[in-house]
Amino acid sequence: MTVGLCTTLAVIAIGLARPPTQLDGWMGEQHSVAEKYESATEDEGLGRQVALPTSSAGYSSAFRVMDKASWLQAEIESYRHLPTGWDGEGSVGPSSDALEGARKLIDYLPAGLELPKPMITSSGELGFYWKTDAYYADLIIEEKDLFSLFVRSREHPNSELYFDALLISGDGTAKIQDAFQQI
Amino acid sequence: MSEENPCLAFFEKHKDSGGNKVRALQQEPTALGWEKFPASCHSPGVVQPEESILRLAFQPLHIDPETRTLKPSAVSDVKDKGFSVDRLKYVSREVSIESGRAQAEKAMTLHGRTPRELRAVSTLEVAAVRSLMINGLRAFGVYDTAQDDNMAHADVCQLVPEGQAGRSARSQLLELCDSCLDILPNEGC
Repeated sequence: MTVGLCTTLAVIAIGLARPPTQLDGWMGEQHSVAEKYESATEDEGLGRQVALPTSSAGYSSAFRVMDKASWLQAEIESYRHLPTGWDGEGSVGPSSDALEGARKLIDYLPAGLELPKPMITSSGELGFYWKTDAYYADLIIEEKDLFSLFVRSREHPNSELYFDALLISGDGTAKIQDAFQQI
Repeated sequence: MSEENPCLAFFEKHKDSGGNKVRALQQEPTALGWEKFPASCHSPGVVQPEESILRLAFQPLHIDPETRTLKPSAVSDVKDKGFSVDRLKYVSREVSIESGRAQAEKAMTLHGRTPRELRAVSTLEVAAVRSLMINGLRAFGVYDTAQDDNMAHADVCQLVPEGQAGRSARSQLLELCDSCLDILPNEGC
């Protein structure tokens, strides 16, 4: 009885000590994203690491070996160096506040949710998006500590949710999780 | 605002407004009706619903190389500076693509390390763009914004305000652009 209680408490403590990152991978699965990619690429002769495409901004070396969350961080960081005019007349790079907010938000994406893809608009706005058969979602960094989230079901196109001025924090994580569960 | 052609007066006034043009247009209560007026003195005629328009998409930052589909950022211009398109009634697809490539090369020269390359095009039906609705209201207007060096130029502008309406409208436009996306072969291949 005592041993059982101690084991239960130890499991809860480990769970609470774990940071709120997204490294649990795809919804409903028990393995981390890194593990998922590792196992997926083992058969391709890449061992226990994963080769991800080079940064789309073109500043990172080709095919770095890293997990998907680190790649996402690197991709966002690569946007820092975009010069004025990178996307034609009037386009600008991101502000340092937006970069900071985006990098921070990656750490607050809910565990169990598929990692999004990054994006930058020609006006320097940073965000992330998901496009799956089931839903479309985008998340925009509004200020250093705030973001907005839009989610639309693809199966029921009239079913959509929008949240503005969400704090990049544990509360924001919970809101993202709620939105994806609702949709 | 000119009583004869408020559309022309508006677009002339805002031609150097950059990112504020579409936001200003959204404040105009009769903006939707302005599609019936030329928005430029170089106009070959207002944009008709049966026309096709071509949108150019540049890599690396607006195309997902993994799925070969557009990122939402590829349509973000529609909410601020206007979503530039070419009217295929006045320019051929090939000439428009060549012009886009030349534009990207010029940008590379000007900005050095910017790795910009024309990689895809979407051919849209004007009627389809004009049929996108948010809460019973037209989401986008398509305006004849011919330029002195490109009379085929037109702008798609978001007419619904930012927030949920804007995000919903752009997600529909993105889906429309993705549905007719044509990935171009690499140059020289």
